[in-house]
Amino acid sequence: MKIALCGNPNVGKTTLFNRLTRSDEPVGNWHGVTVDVRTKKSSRGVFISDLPGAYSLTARTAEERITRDNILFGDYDVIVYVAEVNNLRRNLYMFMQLAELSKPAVLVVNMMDEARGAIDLKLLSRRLGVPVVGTSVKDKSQKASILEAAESALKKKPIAPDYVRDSAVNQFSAASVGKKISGLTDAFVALKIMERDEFIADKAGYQLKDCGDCCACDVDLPAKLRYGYIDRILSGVAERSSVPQSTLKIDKVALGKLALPVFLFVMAAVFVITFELGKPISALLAGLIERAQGLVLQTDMPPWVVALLADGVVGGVGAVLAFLPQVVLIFLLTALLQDSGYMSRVAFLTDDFFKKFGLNGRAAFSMVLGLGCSATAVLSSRGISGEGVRRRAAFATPFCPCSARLAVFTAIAAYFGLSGFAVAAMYILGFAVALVVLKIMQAIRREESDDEFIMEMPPYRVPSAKRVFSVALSNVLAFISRVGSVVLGLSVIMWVLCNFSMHDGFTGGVENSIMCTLCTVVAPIFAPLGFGSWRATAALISGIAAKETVVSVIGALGGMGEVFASRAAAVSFMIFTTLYVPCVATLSAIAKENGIKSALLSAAVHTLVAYACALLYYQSAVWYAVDKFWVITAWASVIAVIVAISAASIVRGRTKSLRAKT
Amino acid sequence: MTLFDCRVGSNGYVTRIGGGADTHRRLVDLGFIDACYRIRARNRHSVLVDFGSTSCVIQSSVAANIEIRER
Repeated sequence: MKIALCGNPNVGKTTLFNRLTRSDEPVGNWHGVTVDVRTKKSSRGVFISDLPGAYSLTARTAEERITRDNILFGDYDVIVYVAEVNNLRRNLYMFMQLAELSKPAVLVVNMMDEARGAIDLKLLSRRLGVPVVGTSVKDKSQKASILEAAESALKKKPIAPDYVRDSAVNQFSAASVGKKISGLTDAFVALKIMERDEFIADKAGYQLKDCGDCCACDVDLPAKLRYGYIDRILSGVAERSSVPQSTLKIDKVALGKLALPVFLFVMAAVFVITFELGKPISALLAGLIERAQGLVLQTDMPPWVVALLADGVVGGVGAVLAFLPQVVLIFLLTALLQDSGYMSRVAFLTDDFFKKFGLNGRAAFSMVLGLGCSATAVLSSRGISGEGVRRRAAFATPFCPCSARLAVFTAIAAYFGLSGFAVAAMYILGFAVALVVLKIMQAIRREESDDEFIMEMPPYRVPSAKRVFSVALSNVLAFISRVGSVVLGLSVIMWVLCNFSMHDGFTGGVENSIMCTLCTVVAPIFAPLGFGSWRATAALISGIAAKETVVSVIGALGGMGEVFASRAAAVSFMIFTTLYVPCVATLSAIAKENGIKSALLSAAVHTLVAYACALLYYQSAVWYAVDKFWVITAWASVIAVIVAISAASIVRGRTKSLRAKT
Repeated sequence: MTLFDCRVGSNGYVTRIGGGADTHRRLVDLGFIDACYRIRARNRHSVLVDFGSTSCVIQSSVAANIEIRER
């Protein structure tokens, strides 16, 4: 049996999917967590697919199109429709379209433990003609009842809503449906054509006329019929509820006059906890790895095997694993923010700000996800409905440093005694560059924010420890598996290239190695940035595959002291690593979302910007050591010009709006 | 009067939904026709509105197409 799991966004579909298939897919208290179809087999041998959330079978975003296509044309036996108990009226709207399609279905009413009023599921089941199952996070016994309900749903179809026999629908049906669409009922096609759904109209070969103002024709009739029917169904079944008082009270502070200080405090807390709490655990891990290296060095094996294990494997992988505490903390804290519901408030709070750069508040989700993994963040931009906004968000998101780059920053900062502010500055730099790139894109293409932003705001929930740990754990495991596979493999390859010579085989040293020969050709390009050594070049090249390997390669090539001549060179390297070409996984995500041209452009823009920023920093640092006065004067002049231009543009904008008002 | 002209705390009900076909469709699908509303918070470019048990952030250009009657 094949089951499709669908429903409105943020109703707990993926949590249910994880329970039914014993998976660990990411979940969160905000819409747009799932952007693609995931199929897994349950313990009973049933194939279950988790579809992205949608409000209707008339698709508006890329993820909704995936859901629509799967429901309309997928070969599923039963559709398990998940609805939230406190939003049944709106949730049943899409369910009605499944009933119009006469698809075998089960209604799962989720979050029963949060119900803000009485509900009669038996009566609801009788009225809809489908099995109805109530579930909640705390109730673990529902897995069997959902699968049993799915089996029983196979034997009967849902009761067709009475409005499909409405004279307007019938009239339209007979008049419009000339060409039958396989698998779809006439009533469904007629209602979709009445709604002016271009996709269905095209499939049916029906030419939609340009009607101008929507309110002048009957496009709203199907929605009115559906909601009228839902109101009759829910009468006596569920009490109408409102937004929880606790959410209203918290939002008075979180979205009131103190909104910005609260937001800045939350973000600062995330970074301070990540770096300061992670530091001592990191030092402990580094000590353990050093001891492991020492043990390997004492073993009685051929010298090249000892060197490979000590430097290539333990040294390379250990250099990344030492910063696991920081990675764990940042994943835990972002999961906590997502589960509480605060992430959606961040989207609202940052909406005005992002508008200035051609995006909207929804882009904040992608940016925050980018702190974990850039590739995931690029894919998450699918939830943005405006095509231009979506493309811009996917292009700019990789500038925000991911957790892999965090390992590089922390390693360099720890070795050169830089404070947590230096690491935080890299995040600010990445974010600032993303905004500058967006502004330039906006100026070149003269595009305004084309997304008509409508986003549901979930209520606050006490974060579930299990959900938070499960999200953090799956991210941490993905990080560790990358370290155990990509980083380990690349460390070994890099070690071989760094310890073997073309003519002499194993040299035991790195100076005449294959890598040294190859990178010496490229290294001079980086000399003006302060790290023109072949070792730094080798680390940067390996970082194109996965950013974590930058640290492991530095470790395998003798450590920070060997790679960087000075503190300024190391900071310049940090700046370059923050901004240069994203990893292969991220580039392929950009290619998937925006096309290959955009991915290539992204690689070029990232590298050029990284080069320019690192060059500016390093040359300023060198000149500062020679002549402080001129460097300070030059930078003060640049800052003054930027402030003057910004002030002029603000004044011009205000004058314009005042003129418009008068 | 449109939803975007309302101040924080204003409440009433939706009388008419305009806007482009796509956005109109989404608002109608969300059940906003004749729905009761209350403005919870607002920015320069968007408003946070409670529609019964649902809360939505709506961009100014969209909110300006939702006509309302205040209570």
